[in-house]
Amino acid sequence: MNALSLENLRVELGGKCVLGPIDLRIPAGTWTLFVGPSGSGKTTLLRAIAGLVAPVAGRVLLADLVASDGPRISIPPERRAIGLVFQGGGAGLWPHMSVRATLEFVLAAHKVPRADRARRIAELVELVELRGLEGRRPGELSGGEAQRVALARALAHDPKLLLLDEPLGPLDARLRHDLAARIHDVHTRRGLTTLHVTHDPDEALPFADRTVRLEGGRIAVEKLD
Amino acid sequence: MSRPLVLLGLLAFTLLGLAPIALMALRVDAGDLHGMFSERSSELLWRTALLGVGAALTALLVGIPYGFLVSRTDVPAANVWRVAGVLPILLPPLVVAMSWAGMTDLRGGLATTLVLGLCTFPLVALYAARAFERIDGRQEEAALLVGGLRTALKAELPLVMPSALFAATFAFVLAINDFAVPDYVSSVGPKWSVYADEVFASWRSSKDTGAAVASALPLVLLTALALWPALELRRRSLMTSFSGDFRAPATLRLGVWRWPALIFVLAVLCASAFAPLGRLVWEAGGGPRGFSSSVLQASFERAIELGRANLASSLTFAVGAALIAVPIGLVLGHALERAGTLGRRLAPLVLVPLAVPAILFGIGGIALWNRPITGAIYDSGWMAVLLFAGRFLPFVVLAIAAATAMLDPRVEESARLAGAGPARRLARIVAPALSPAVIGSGLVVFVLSMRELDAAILVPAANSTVLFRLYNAVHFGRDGYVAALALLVVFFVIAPGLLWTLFCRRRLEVLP
Repeated sequence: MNALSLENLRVELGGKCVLGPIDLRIPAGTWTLFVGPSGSGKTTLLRAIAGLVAPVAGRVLLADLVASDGPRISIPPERRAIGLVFQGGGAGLWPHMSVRATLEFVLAAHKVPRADRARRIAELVELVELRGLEGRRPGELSGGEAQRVALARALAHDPKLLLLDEPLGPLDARLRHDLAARIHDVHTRRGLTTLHVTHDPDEALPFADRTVRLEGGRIAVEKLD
Repeated sequence: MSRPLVLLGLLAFTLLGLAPIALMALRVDAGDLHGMFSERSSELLWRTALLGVGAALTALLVGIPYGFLVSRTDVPAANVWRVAGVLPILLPPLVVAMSWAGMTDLRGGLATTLVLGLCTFPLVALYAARAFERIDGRQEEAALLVGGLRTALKAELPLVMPSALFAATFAFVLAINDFAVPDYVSSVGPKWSVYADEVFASWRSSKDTGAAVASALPLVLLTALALWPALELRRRSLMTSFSGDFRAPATLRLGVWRWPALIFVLAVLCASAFAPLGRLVWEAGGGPRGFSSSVLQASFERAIELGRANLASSLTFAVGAALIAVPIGLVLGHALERAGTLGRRLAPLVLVPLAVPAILFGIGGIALWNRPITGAIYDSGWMAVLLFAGRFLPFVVLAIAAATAMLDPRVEESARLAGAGPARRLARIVAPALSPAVIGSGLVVFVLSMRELDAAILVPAANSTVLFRLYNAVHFGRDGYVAALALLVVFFVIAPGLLWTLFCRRRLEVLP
């Protein structure tokens, strides 16, 4: 079964076509690496899949359900069961919330019973090795710690699809290796479907089931690894 | 964005901010328009425009160097003067006019222009300071290497000017719509009428809404003409915001100019705040009859005894207006910024409540609420609260929109992907992330409502405000009690901001 299907997907920004047409099928439980030069449409592709930008044409199907058809969004981002780690050191983290409050917020939004939340938070904190930092806010964390919070947040609501937009970019070599291995471990254990955008294929090549190269907003090469 | 929430916000904005104006406009008939083109109207319009330009120029000439010195240079105690520089905009212009009229023989147009210029210069100073701080350190260092401070300033002024001019247009609008200062200056010297007090006189003599509105149309046009380019200036000033790898500029060393710069800063503060306040303290303590602490105490006791109820009314109305304006402004300001092109197109609509003279807005409020079905509201304090909230809502909307422009959209997008709906995102993510702007704009509404007289002077409920009592008192002779009451007003106006500055580390974002 396909976790994600893109049919003739096209995105315009400011009246200019920046992505597409794209046709792609992503089988469930796989790790797909998206590579390509800056401006090739990698981030836009993830944003269109997440529903954060509306395509001008084409369809996005999540597990065979139509999430968007042309500019019409039928499943809003908050109901797509998608986790997204943004590009940049902890970008998009909520500046006024501690690690614990951030995870609590996600669990509350998904109506996880209050009694279960502490256990889930502890698991997530353990998973990304942030024990002892639960009370800290983004401004009090290093780039690597912030990025791990972003990962924990993306995983908190048990997404089916994990979108990673250059998640290891700002980290040093050792942290990149550690975090990549950790993400792959979660991916395998939870049976996630992972879409990983990077400009440095080496960081995740060992984990990838397939690699897609984008150029000028289109798929240039698609190969199974 | 939540469509139901935005629609609710728009509905509230229409009711509070637009309906009074629309109803007023509907009452104008062709006959009312004849007076618009009279010789007297032209003379008043010319005089009012000159007043506005004079006040805006004063604010620019004082505000830009003041903002630069306190934000970017090593002038001694710059941080203290930066906070103190807000004081003049918090003082009711009537209070400043009272003091200056007592201290000097300046009267008429010059006095009015100077007072309103000094009262509005902090707007320019605040905007200029923020713009100077947003210049990338590397840009500045490159200019310093080429030709020193003078070259750096030459390179930076074009970046700062949109912000400063935007603030100056607000100074212009506040000046041409001010009724209390020209009215007071006229009461202690030769008559010097401007459009705003002519509209008031027209309404008071005939109670004819149509005629009053028609007589004010040129003023509305003048205000709209100023506010329209202001929106473009605002957009440009927001564009000079931080980029991803922004590097804060270093403090500039003034060298031998450090102490002259301090003298300039202190002179500005003395003229706009310290001297007027000092004069009031002196008057409250006995003034020309000899200052004594016992007289000062007696004046305050009398002011508290006579003005207690008025102070309570003013505080209640101001807090109520802020509590109503902030949630509406949060919804609309956020939507305005996030709606992109549509938001930019709708932005002029937000300014409409400010584009009509305050007195006219008050008349509109009467036309809207003084009817049998809403009589209970009209006769109660709610009338003042709704009037103030509607009038000052644009400041909240624009301040929130400006703060939203600085908020990384990914902060909201990640909340959306985390499963939070629009209302939850607004309440739990956007509002706390924008808390300096949310609290700051609420304080602005509070301050403006506390010092509001022009829109309230015609509304019975608002006649219980302390500023209305002060306005009446200064027209029936001045004594220590009046000065003490003015000082109490000042205290209550500045108290919330002062407490915030003393006890909270985060700087408030109050700029629209």
